[in-house]
Amino acid sequence: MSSELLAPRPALPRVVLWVGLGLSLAGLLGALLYFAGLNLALVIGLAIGGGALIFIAYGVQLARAGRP
Amino acid sequence: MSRAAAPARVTGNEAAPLFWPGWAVAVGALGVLLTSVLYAVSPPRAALPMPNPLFSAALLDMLAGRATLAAAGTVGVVSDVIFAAGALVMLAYGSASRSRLAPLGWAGIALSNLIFIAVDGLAAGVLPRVAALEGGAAVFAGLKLAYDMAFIVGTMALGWAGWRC
Repeated sequence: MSSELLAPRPALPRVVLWVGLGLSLAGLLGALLYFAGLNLALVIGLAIGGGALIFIAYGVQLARAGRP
Repeated sequence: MSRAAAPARVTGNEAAPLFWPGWAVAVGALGVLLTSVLYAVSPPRAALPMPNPLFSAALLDMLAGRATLAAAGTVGVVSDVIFAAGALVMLAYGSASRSRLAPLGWAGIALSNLIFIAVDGLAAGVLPRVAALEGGAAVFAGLKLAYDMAFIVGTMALGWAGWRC
């Protein structure tokens, strides 16, 4: 999401990209803290589900931009 | 950085290679969302990685939730393959023209989906069957640890990759 945020004309609204960035970091942090014995399974689940939702929109936008 | 030096975006006929990979990403992600919902309605001790698991409880939960777990795994395996394929084509054709860092992100997305193929495959056809075996508790415990570890590593790859895309 950070690369898309830096683009002059991002494929998704910047607020959506910021949410995606937050979900990505939450998933990464939740997974890393597993090794510290913290149970953040709910955070991991929400990060994956929410991230998938954003990638649906991102994929559709990429397909629309690349329509033959 | 001046606007003229910014990475060029793909437009017009140059963008045609992004059409099918874009749809593959969208359809794969839709399947991942459905998979997440199915995991969410399954017993958490069986479906989600737990740092200090009680294997006897996880085994009982696996038996109780095997229908939704098998469904989640089946949908997940197919979705992961489609998502990974789309990400790999984006890596090859689309991403470098959008940003210099994006190829790393798409590589991570593809890698994460490959890892989750193993996770979802275990949920689809291995863990529920092993849990149902008489005297299969030790095998179940080992496979559940492998499932949890792959789930965590796949999530780390997805988190890092989603940040980079």
